[in-house]
Amino acid sequence: MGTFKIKPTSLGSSTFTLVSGTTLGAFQAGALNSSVIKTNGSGALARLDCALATSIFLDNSVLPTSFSSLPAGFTVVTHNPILNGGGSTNGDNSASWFMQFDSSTESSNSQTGLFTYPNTILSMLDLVNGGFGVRGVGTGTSDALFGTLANGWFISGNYSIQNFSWTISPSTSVSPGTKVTITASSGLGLGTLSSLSIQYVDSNGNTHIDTVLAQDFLSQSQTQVVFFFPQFGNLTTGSTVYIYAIDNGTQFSGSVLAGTLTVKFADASGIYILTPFASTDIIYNAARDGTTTSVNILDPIIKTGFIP
Amino acid sequence: MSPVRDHQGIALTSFNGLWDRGDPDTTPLDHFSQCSNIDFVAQSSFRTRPGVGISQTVSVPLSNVKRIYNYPIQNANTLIVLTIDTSGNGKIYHVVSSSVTYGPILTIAGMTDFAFVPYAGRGYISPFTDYNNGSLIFQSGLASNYLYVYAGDGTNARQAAGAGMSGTMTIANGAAGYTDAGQKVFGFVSQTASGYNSPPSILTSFITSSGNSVSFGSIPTSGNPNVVKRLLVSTITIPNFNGDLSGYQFFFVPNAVINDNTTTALNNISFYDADLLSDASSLLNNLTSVPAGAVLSMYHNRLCLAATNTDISLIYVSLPGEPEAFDQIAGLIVAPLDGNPITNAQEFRDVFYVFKRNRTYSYADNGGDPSSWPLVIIDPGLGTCPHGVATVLDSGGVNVDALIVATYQGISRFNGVYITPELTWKISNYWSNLDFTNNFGKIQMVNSPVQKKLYCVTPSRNLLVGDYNNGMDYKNIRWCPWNFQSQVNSVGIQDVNNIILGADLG
Amino acid sequence: MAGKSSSSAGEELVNHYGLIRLRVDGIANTNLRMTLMSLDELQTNVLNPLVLSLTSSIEPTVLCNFTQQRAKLQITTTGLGETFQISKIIIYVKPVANSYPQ
Repeated sequence: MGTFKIKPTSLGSSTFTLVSGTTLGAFQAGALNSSVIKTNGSGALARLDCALATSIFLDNSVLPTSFSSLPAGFTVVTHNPILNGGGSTNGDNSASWFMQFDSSTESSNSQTGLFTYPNTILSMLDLVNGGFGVRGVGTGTSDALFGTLANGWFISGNYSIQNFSWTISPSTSVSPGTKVTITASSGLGLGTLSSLSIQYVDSNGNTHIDTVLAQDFLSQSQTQVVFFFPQFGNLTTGSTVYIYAIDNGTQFSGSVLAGTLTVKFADASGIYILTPFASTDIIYNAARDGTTTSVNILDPIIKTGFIP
Repeated sequence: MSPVRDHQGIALTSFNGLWDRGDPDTTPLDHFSQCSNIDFVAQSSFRTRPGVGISQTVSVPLSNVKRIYNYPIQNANTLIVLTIDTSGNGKIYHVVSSSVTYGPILTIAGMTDFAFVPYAGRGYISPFTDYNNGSLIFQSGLASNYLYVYAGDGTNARQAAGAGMSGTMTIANGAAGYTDAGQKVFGFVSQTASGYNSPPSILTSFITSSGNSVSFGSIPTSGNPNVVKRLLVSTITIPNFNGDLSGYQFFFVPNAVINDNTTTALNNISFYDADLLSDASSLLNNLTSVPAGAVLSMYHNRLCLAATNTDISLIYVSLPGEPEAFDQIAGLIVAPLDGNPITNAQEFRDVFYVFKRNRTYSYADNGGDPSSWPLVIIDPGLGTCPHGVATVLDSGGVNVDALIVATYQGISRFNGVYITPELTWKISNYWSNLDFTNNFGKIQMVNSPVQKKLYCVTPSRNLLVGDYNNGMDYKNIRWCPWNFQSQVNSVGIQDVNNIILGADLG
Repeated sequence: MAGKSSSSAGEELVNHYGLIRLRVDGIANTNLRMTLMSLDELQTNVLNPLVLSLTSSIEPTVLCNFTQQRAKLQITTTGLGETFQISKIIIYVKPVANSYPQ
């Protein structure tokens, strides 16, 4: 078990007024150092963006750990956005201040800077890519959110390391429809997984999360899960994709980073027609030049009920 | 005689599809505890599902397909297709055949889905998108956007309805003719190629003489290039004119039509007050621009639009036979407000059913204005999503005697009430495991009564196929998920029996 | 234990699964891959693939040797262009023990 902090690296889409005499400081040192924002009668929004390479600080380390260097089995257990290092933050009671994770998830009126994501523990990728922020509503020109901000604004949380040894195969040049196998050689088993969450950031900087439910696995046992890799978005060949395992609660809660793989871009999107008696699927080539490829109908399979 | 000594043969001769309900150990022998990519043959066989082939033979096929609708035109059954480009622009194309594609006929930034209704050969398009409501994702009309009409000929879709003309005109006595002498107010109504009549405008008062006709000059042309006619309107003779040009009832003047958008004069029009029979004043109440909504449907020859960006429980109902004419007072229905948007609407057995994600209401045309139609709450717990009512063949949503509706509970037959057990009773675990929180809006269904199959795009982006050759009831329907290399987004039927799939980039 | 085989449905006797016979057709040279699986799929018996033909005058059999209280049969194909159509499956079962050693 350990602790982590996710510190912002830049200001996202924001609208606020600085209290006179305060300035924006260096983000990594604590974000908006010595700064105080106010609604100035028209509301305030401060969004703080984070970076996968430089925002994650484990166990009070002064050096960041990049996301791709997190240890296998890293699991977020709790997370809270923190203003002012957890101290009192509001010196003006006429305004309402709301904590945010991603811009669509917001606390109720909170002046103490603690709130948890409703009913879900986010993965580290979600937390970093989603960022966090604070929104203020107030009609007074002096409504302000202040305190000793030198302690910083960050996401604070606890993590654990799940002891297991899983391998993913293949792990390179994975294209849509590839049969991917996760094999457990020790530690946590795979028999109670309820889904796999495939997460990546596309070429436009948008985070994607694709879920493969257990009912869509080709096979599942304690030691092995086999599934067909879904069509992924606008990702160039060689991009990294993160595979998270979500359990049904028997072995662990939240999500566990199972591993990563790199992809080979293939655009099989388009308009298709079911062709009676066709023994293969014919799909458009990634070149989108009118040429096509015959691919396997993804493993037709039946399992009977138990006999007798 | 057993082929293996002392062994008894247990024969499996019925294969009734997937069973995913409760403990997997209790799967009946005539069902599968797991199946995928299997199709059913006649009553009791199964085989590998049919493969897919490409639908477009063009050199640059459409990519990242988000939604497909059937669009029957006069001489073909075509497709209307939404794609999203790398910049996030929604682009709608008209796929006429495998080798001919028009478009994009409409490009709108941020459009991730659209509602569509074909009517009188034209297509009515309403762009919408997702929005967050707490932890749920809903759909509503795209903000600051509108209803569009497409002529079906490859020309760009244009905004529906439209404002009246602006400017001034001159009026003088014409050649010898006849009118009822006295004060009148004249104006012009512009008419578009799709038959939409704008509100009367260029209102000008004039005192006519009994022995003269009336001539109009400097008539403005409409700035809307789709206007093809301008129709003269007039009040009857006003005994005591109070100066309010729009405060009197207008009528279309017989035989006073300019059949173009270029002519600036209309001369020698004669008419009596008794000839003014066709009312034009109602046009003053019509919306000149119709906001985009997430729902389009037809009921009693009226176009119904619901779930705009600003009014998620409001239904706009057009005049009968006039799909662009929405009375902004009498043509509105407010569904009960519960914080949820209207998601779907469907006519069935002469009743207009309106759905939210977990509510079902009905309205019945009482012959009066839509705002007067009585509301009945059909089900306070079940509803559906924007594409959750199965379309039948390439037409509407009704098949024989029931709608097929996807609810949180399962896929159900609906004949005025939700028939239980639902059709997905045998696979209730499978259905309940689907991600309805984020992707309920991804569900789309078609029903092929020729093949006797239901095709349902699920939130998992595969196809859940229900074969009902043995009967459409919860016991005899045979379910199997079909998976593809691509993530399926949309399903439709073309030419009676061809199942069309739309797949995006993911 | 009965000298002759008898139905053990519901009794969860230990059964021997000895042979599978199918009425099956498919595209020529399709390899129909079958596996018997125990409860919770902890143990499996992978059978020899059955090579199919488009038409057939016989219902082929596949030997198996699997002893479990209950078993289910998995049938799949994995190759490009392989298809099958099945209208009957017969599994030959014989109870061989009342229970596993305690």
